[in-house]
Amino acid sequence: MLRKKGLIILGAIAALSVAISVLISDAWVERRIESFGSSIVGAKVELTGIRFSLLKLHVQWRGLQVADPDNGWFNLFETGHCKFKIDPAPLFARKVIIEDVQVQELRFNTERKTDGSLPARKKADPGEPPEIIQKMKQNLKAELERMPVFNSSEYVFSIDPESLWEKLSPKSPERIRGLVEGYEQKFSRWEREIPNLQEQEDLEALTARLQAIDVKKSSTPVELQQNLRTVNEVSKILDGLRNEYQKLRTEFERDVEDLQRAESTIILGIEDDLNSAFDSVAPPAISNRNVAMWIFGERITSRVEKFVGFVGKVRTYSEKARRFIPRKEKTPRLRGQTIRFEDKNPLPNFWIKQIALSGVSATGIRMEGAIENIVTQQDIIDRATTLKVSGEGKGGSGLLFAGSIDHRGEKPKELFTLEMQGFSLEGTDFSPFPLLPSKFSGGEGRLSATVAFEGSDLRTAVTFWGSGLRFAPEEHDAAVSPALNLLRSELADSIQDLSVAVTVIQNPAEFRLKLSSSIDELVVGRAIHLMREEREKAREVLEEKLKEKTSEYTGTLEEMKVKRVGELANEFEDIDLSIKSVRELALQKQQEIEERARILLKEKQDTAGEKLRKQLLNLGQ
Amino acid sequence: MLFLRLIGKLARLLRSGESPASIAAGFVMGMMIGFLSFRTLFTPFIILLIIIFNVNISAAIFAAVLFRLIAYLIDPVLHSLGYLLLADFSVLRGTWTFLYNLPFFRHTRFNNTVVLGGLLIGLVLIYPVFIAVKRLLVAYRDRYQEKIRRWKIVQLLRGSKVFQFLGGIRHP
Repeated sequence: MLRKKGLIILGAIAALSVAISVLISDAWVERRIESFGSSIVGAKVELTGIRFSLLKLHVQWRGLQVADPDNGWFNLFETGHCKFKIDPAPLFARKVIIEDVQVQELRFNTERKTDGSLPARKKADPGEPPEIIQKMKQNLKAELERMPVFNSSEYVFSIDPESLWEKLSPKSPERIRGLVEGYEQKFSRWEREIPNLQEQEDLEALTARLQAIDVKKSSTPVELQQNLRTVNEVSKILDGLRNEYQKLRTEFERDVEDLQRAESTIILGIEDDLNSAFDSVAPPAISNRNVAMWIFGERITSRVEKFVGFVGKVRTYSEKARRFIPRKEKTPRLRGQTIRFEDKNPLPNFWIKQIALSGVSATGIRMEGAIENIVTQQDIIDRATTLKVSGEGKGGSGLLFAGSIDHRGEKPKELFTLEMQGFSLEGTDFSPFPLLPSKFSGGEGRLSATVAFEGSDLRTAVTFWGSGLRFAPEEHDAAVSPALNLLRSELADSIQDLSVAVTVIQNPAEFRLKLSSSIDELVVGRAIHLMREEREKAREVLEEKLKEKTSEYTGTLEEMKVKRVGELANEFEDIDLSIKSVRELALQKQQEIEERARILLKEKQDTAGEKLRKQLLNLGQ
Repeated sequence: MLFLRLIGKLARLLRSGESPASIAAGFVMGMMIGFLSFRTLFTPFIILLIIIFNVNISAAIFAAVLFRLIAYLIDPVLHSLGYLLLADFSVLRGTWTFLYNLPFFRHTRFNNTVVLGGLLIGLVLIYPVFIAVKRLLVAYRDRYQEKIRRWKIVQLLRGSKVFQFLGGIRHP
């Protein structure tokens, strides 16, 4: 029944397998770690000098490079010597428990000799990220789309008045000509009418009538009464004439006032032309918010998105590990779907208990720290993943990075804080905004950042302070206007200190990205000032040209105002004087009549008294 | 080429003096390998059985290839059946959880829908296929072997150089 030959072959195969596994175990482990790491990071993970002891389950390597998935020519980080030990017993239950990992010479953002990007198809697909992360990414994308785009060609910092003049078809000369013609008609009428006014003749007639009254010759009350009636009649006519004259004068004065206002109408006409000339170079909205977004917006949103992506990845893997019975999936043929069941063995599938780190930060600070409990199922060990790295550098610079990832409760929580101070800004990128220099050449920075996720809520606050800032000199960009280049140099000279505050809030009710910096106002102020200055210069040139074009009409108007209106006013004045003199004459005649009446009355009284006295005397004799 | 070789081997097998039980046992073991995958611990276990016990290896290889093709074709059925047993039948969850916590069984990948579906179908078919193969072999040797030998196509094939090169059919 048993096959002897088969048993021998089986023994030989077993012996060969053991020999091969001992010989090629290092390469196999290296490949496995590299492939697993690459699938998680999405870029190449490379190990050098790996040594794996199958019996003791010790792993150590001389170097590890983890490429940046966004820039394959740089590493996210690389390490020097690293060693750890795998707990052998849980391996039989397909659980990887690593007690203590020692990572030395950790360095960030180091340059690579080869491209560490993975072909698109090799990148791991961790599946759909959690809904909150998707929403956050959508919000950030929408924020980025809403973000104002700075187009330097829109911001015309130098204006050529000649080209504006060529494009302009001024309306003001025609408007002023029409205005002058209107006034010409009006004042010609006055010039025609005033000398021919009936009033003068009437006044002369009235004067004659008054002068014809000889009060001294009036010896009877009847004659006096007749004279007084004449004076009253003349006064009445004079009142009528005065009213008519007053009406005409009011009308004339209104026309004169109108003429006086012509100047402002002309100014308005020229203003309209100037405005239409500047319509084509109207400055786009430049506000503090716009500038803050221009200066830091894109970088901030991309950093937040990157960080959100990292949290999303952590949550996706965590959710996958926690999911008990998965939904039925469509799988490739003969691959099937693996369903996991409750693990009675209280050990997670993967658990690194502690990683002791030491290395140098991207800003040159020597740092030390530890990451504890990197684990697939936190609820099994009832501990959150924690991270604490701190360090001190030269000149009082320091760093403290702490974080915790807690996916034990209903709501997953992630909290990260970063405090950095006294780090050098030399060679650091500043802003892609074309009005500002792009790189720091000196200065010191301080940074405080908190990122807190709780379920679907996110709260991020980042504040950066820079002091003693200096900027790398920039070559003047020929494509950009000289004024813009000048503005950039001016701004570089005037910014010594800087603070930037960013707040990102997301909850079911709202998404808010608030961004402000201490230089927003300065940039806005300088840009507006420059644009205004340039505009003013061009405006003066155009105004001069427009005035030249309308000078003929404005001259006519001026002449009309000074000479013709003056003459007409004199004529009105003459009439006024005539009326006044007639009025005075009438008053004089009236007074004379009254005086004469009093004298006559006295004479009559005296005569009557004498007559009475004589009669009384006769009676007495 | 491989297919022709297999046909040749099958023809030789049918004519060989090996016992129908040994061929049928090899065949059902091959069938199990075909339904399962190489990533499960069941497969090395069955291979071990094939090597240790005196069953026909050619029949096992032939059946493995044949049933791998069949498994590929009926994969949606295997997947659905596996999912039904693993996820939908809550009464079985206790059993699966128990097996899941046994190190050996976890490596059998029984918790994979296609593996469990294939295993179940394979197990169901073991006895009927074993009996059917055995009977077919006996019937073939008794009634059809001589008739088929006289078929022109068979004679033509046996005479061809290609067929000879691939191993031909030896007489018992």
